[in-house]
Amino acid sequence: MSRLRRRCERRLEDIPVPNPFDLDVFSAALAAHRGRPLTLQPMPGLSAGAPCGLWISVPTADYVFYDPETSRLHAEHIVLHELSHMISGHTTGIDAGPEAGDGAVGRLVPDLDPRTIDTMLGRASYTTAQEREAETLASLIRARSAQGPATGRRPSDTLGRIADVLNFPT
Amino acid sequence: MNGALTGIVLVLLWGTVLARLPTFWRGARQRAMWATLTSLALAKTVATPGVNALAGEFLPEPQIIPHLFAVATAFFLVRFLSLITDYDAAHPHAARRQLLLAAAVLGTMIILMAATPDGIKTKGNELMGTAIAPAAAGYWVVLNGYLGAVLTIATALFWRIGRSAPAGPLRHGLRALATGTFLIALYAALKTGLILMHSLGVSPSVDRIEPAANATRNIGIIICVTGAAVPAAGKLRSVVHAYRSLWALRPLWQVMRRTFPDMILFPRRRALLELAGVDEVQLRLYRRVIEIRDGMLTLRDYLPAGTLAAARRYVGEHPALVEACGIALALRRHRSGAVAAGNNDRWAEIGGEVADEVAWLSAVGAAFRREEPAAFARHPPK
Repeated sequence: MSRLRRRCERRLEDIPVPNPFDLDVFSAALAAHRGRPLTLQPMPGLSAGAPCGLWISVPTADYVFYDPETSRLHAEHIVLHELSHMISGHTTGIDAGPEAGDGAVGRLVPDLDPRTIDTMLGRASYTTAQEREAETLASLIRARSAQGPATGRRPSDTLGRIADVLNFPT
Repeated sequence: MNGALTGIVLVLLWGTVLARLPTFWRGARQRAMWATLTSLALAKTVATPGVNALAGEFLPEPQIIPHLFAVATAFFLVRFLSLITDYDAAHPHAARRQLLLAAAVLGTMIILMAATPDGIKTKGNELMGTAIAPAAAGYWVVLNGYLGAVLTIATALFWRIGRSAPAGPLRHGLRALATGTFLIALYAALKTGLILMHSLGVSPSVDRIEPAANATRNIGIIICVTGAAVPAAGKLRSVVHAYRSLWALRPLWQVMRRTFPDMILFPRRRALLELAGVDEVQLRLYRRVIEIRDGMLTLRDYLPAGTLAAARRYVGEHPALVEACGIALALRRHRSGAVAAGNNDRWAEIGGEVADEVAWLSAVGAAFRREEPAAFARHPPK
């Protein structure tokens, strides 16, 4: 767990996390960084027998689907989990072969040709290393932003650095 | 008085060293701060008569061991100042040069000690009662010169940073650090001045000066350690609050953990060991909220439409108790595999912040432990 934490902390060093946290701002920054549109799509009932969040990546865009029928914080976390897959560069996941058009993908984005899907990852449990990493990173992003303005970022001046050492947010 | 002050200094120093131990792994700046405090704690501990006598059974000249730790303390303080001012970025060899300087100070002190016929005397009346050898005077000038220079730089820097800090605990803490280092620097300057005066033939009475000087040094250390702790006081309050929230969420979280073990990200023992620090408790709290919500999302499939309205009729207008009744019923249906057909009820809508979730889920957790939810689940509405 320590190694996973350190890896996630390193990834976070290069990511500007808005404070107070704003999912739209964070998603827009990530989309700009990836140079492609990112669509967040609420999908009521998604989690019934399926992952409660899903990231589908095609060559020109990213789609994140999430179940909105939960609390706002939890829905936000589900989206953050999928964004964390993107940040971590995860690529493998749910089988998105040609038959996928008849399943979840066909239901979520009927206009999308399943053969164009590069990556498809969902949030169901933490039994794989990728899922644990995405969940840890999502938790760090949101938990850190809830603490105060100086956390989660490297302080850039002497006052910020000493405040960080003394455990005091500036 | 100095015995009591020394006791306070030792308790404060070792308490701070232990409290800051988890920060050792957080980065170079934190490590330098921790090393400064640890070296100072060791210096003060070895300087106490009992420990010094014990050290004398294994080492020659035990009276100078505190001085060696004091040089180490000053070196780590210099490293800390370099790191917080980003001096190292502009001076790539700064760390090596600072180490060489500290090593040169130590080497010179050892040579001068060896050259002093009767060894280095540390007690005021012994030191000032007889003629002081030039080598011994040189020893004190080198030691106190190095310590005094480092402390003067620290005083100026802490004062300057404190002026730019926002009004409040951080500024107070930095000013206290500046005051404390100034008092210790004053002690070093006073001691060096007295020794130089004595070596020139002027012998002031040390009976009154020595206790006052030692008290000044101890008070300086107490102010420094307190100053370093002041800014964290506000954070301590939030940590205590977070631990209370963790405790309040525990009953509901334990139910979800037992029911859906796959949804727990950090194993409990690992979490206790690795997430016990100041920042990590917030992460534990956040995870507890998310894991409860993951469980509730799954349980929604076992919450038939109309359940919450029936619970409201059963317990009255008590939102947290109504939610707890819904959870109890959904858990019972989950255990028996009775997936709800058709539409499901939705859990209550609340604010989007962690604090909103903690307050609500704590209330639901407390309500869940009452008799009504279990009774409602045993006799669900038809």
